[in-house]
Amino acid sequence: MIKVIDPRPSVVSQRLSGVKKIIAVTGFKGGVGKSGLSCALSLAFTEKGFKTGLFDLDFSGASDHLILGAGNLFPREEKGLLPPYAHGIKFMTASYFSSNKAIALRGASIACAIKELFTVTIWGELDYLILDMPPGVSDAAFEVMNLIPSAVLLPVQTPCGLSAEVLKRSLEVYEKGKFKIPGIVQNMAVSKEKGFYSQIFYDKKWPKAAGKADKLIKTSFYADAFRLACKLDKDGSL
Amino acid sequence: MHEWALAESVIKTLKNQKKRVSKAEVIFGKLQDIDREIFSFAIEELLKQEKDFRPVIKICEEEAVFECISCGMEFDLKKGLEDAGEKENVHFLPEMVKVFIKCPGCGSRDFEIKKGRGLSIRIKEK
Repeated sequence: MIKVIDPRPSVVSQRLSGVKKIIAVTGFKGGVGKSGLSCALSLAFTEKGFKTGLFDLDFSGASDHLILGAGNLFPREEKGLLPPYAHGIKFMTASYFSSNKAIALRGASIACAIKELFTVTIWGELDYLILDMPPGVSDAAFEVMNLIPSAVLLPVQTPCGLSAEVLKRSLEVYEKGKFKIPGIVQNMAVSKEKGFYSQIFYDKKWPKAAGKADKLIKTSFYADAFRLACKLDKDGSL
Repeated sequence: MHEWALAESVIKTLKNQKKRVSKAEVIFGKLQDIDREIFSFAIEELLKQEKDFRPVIKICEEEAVFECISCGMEFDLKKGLEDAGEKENVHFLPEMVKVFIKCPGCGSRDFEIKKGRGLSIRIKEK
């Protein structure tokens, strides 16, 4: 009998062996601001002096390179792919390989491409790796969770009732796994509310600062994200 | 040189098999266009680090074949990917082929890679 094997998953844990903590920023509905929060958290951890990586796994809606203003970077080859630095963050994204064209792929293709990048990306030593997850509970999300069961899941929702309802249903799927979920982050908050791990208040300056890291770090959105980074860092349960 | 990372995955997978592997076929999907020389060098170097693990590894190539999900047409890579940058992008991430080529029959980018995507291993089991 002939057995056909995909060798790639065998090295994923080795590739991530130098990473102390992996945080998967997840939004179960599109448009809740997980990319903005992923970038802000990465900048905040870097500002705090931590070695930080950011991996944009939202292939169809890849936007972290636009938020960070990191459009002209490309990984270097050395026994794998070395992610280039964007404002001190080791940054990997599928947009490096799309020649600025739309990445319109079916779920199974995205999952396969994610596996490829986890196989060949050499992250080295990192304190934090932030994963900007694809929205929803999809093929791609399942692939990430299978490859990296040690990731901490950080779900994001907005004050919109729909977002909260979808999140509640999706969390039931994840809670059956072994993933640590510190709590929910409410993004675009308009008033103080209890029950959230953290609130990031609506800031009209944030979208205008996209593409300019020096302006991003002066927004109140970033200040809230910085507080969240401090809380995550001190959270002994993670 | 990202062939080195792929070679590591092959050696690790072969080592992880429950039954000791003495012979294996490594299939290169032509879509990924893996450099055979670099890959073979990496395999040799990695095996030098092993004490008593020396499987015979044969490399075979598989043509890339696509099937359009929209019209059902089967096609290959003979026309397309002439741009060096596109070739390099597909070399790193084979799924990107769907960003750069269309079905020659209906023009859809919604097609499946049926064969010849990237790396796989074939082992004969008794």
